[in-house]
Amino acid sequence: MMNKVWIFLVICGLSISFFTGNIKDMGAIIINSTQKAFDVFLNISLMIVFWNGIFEIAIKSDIIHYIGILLKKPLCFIMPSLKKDSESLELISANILANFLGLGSAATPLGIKAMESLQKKNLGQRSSRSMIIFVLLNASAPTLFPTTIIGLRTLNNASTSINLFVLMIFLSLLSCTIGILLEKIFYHLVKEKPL
Amino acid sequence: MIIIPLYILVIILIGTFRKIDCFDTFMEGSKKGLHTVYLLFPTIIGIVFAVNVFVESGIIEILKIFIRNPVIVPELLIQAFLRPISANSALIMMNNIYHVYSPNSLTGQISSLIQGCSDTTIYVITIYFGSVKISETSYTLWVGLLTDLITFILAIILGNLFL
Repeated sequence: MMNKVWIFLVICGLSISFFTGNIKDMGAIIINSTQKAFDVFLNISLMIVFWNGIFEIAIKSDIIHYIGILLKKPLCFIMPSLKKDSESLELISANILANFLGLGSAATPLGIKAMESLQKKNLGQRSSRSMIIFVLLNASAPTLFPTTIIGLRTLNNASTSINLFVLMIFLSLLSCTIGILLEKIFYHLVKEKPL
Repeated sequence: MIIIPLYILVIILIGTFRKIDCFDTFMEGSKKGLHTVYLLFPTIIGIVFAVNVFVESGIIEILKIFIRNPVIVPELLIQAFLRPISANSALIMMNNIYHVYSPNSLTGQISSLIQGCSDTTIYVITIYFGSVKISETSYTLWVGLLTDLITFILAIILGNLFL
């Protein structure tokens, strides 16, 4: 996938610049892009190193598993099959909580474990409905602490207003809800329903 | 932003309460982060090159003939288009918007919203279903992409109303 995007950007960019006449500046732009890449890299990587350290403390203290219990009721409501599948429920609530807290590095391994656990209860090679809902929940990235964005804004000498902060959390939760509602609509529309 | 120091304080208090060697654990996590960073560098250098070539090709000027809105600039559309495919490409696009329009402009703030409120839908679907070797994913991709589109539209509407 990434290959296609990369090729698309480079080939489109170079051919368009040929028509617009920007091709004469392209040499300098390409050379300078490595310098720009280094600036961006420095900003992002220092943040990754710092937050990974902080998050490791959160992960080691097992808060994900403790507070995860609070999510069990709402998750059972969204994915009814979890009522009979406590192992998956445990992993899914931990994964969603890791997402909420912004612990990205912990969320993915937990999510994959949860998928494997869901697959145990799944008959056949088609995706079960719980899997679809769970993947959609992850794809809409619900978060309560958007640390990366706040960090990048700060590094670009901009504050994050309380309005923006609240809106970011609200919209990320809203998009999660929209995903779940759309899934319900699509479920009734398709002929071959997932189990 | 008061939320960041508060968040860190709570994490370290919980760590202390659970009798964890906080500094050692911090070092351990940072080391893992360093490994991530080491693998990230080639990706960033490749993507910044491709995104820069694309953005500086003159496509922005061409798109500006059709899109004359002062807030919804072509760069924002490109970022929203890249968001479900590649997190880093969209991030570089956001950085670009910060430099051209400033992070505090409405465009810059909506750009932050787009980056923060959705995830790399296509990548997540591939990784998660790939891990259990399922290729038949029914309508997952369509629901995911439609959600991203609605989120993008909502980001613009809510941004205009509240920011």
